[in-house]
Amino acid sequence: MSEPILSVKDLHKRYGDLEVVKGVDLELAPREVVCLIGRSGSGKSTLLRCINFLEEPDAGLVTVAGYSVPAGEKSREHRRHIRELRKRVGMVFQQFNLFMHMTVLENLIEAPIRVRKLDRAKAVATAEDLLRRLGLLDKRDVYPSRLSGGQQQRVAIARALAMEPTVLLFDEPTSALDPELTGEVLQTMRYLAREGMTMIVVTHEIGFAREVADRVIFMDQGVFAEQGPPEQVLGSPRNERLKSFLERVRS
Amino acid sequence: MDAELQQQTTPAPVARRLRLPYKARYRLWLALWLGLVLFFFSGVQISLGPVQIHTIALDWGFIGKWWPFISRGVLTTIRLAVFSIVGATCLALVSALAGLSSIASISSLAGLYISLFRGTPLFLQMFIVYFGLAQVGLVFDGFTAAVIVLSLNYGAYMSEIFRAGIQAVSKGQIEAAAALGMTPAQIMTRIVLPQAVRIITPDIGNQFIAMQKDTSLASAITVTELAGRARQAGSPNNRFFEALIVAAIWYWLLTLIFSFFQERLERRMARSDR
Repeated sequence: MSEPILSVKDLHKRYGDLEVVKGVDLELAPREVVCLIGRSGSGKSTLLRCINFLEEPDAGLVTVAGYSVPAGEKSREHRRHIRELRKRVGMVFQQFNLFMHMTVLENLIEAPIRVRKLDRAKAVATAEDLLRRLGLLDKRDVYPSRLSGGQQQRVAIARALAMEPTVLLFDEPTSALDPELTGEVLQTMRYLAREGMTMIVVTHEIGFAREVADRVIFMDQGVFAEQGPPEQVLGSPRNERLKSFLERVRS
Repeated sequence: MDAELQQQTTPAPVARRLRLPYKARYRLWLALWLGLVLFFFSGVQISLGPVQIHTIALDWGFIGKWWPFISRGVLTTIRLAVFSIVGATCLALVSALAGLSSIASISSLAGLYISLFRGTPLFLQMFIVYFGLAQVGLVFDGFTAAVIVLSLNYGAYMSEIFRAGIQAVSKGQIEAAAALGMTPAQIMTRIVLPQAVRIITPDIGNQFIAMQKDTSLASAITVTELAGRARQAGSPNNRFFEALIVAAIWYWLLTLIFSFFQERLERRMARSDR
């Protein structure tokens, strides 16, 4: 494996008495696509949200493109480090979370202008280029409420990409969508994978994982219970709980 | 009973065609009711057999002579309202943010302020600031005292509205902004407040309307706005009814004008379809 572009070391997260993530290590090579699967409550979403500190981990170290942030601090300096890290890590949410009071274009240029301090013209040019590539240019001046769920999620992906992140995190990106709308979102994610985007995808779409992932990780009870290439993890699982999980998902 | 039923099930086709749409009927009735109210002030006396109807006779000569004097109070009323609206909005925003703060010393201060000013009468607060504070050497003129009190009082009420509006913005919006690396201040000013303002515009508009009318309390502390001038005009001539009605019509007009613009604003804000 080449030098990792993202690494998570010994990450722990507990809510009260319940330890949800129990010391996880993860390294991603550049351009690698990792799919995280597992039951709800297995800790996969929590792990994802700990990587960009939306949930503050109790212990561990997150490094993205050489920029490291240790967990468990409380200082103002620490919060600044987290924001620096977040510039490098894009995130796509289950509920899209587009800014409802802004048009599609305004959604895309907000953070580049405010956070990366790009000038407006450059931010607009980048955003328009992204929208064109994702086939959304005609929605440029539309408010999110006028878009279908699938379109909203694709705009949310474009918004994350507009920050030119090193890694993109997807938190069940198709779970809130009607079945007929998941296709266009998965298509967009396939496209990003082909373009060489480094991605971690928490998903229940086993077909997508099989087709697009370089590595599939089965998370169970806060640890990585099994991981490997998709054909191995999904095709001939060894872990009993993974076997029963796959049976349930497929039925 | 049978006949009634029949009438209901087979209405005359002509009557059905003549039935006006709801909006037109509403306006027609509104005009009729308004006409009835005006009739009560016409001074006309009607005798229908044994029944005598007396209506109130207004002294139109007095109204013609004094309405310019009373109406001069409109500008003072508007000035009072505008200054107080600005003051109250600023106070409400600051105390709403303070109330949501996780720093106990700050949120409790906001809590005390809101409790004090919502828990005591506005009228009394006017007196306390104008007469009470003067007693300890803090002397304000009536207008300033009224603006201070209206700002503080309505700031307290609106603070609760602001707070509810801020909390109504979904957590996902804040998370998405945070995940993009925005600072808490940027998230508040760029993402949360613009959406909160859209949510609370109707409530805040109602507060503004209420405040515009409550400026009349300033007449109790020597401010010669509409209500004050109406009393000044009515008192020596014993023509209270005439004078106060002139003032009332002005307040009503101001409210109607404000409501008109409020509605337009709300429609404009609905564009993003929240």
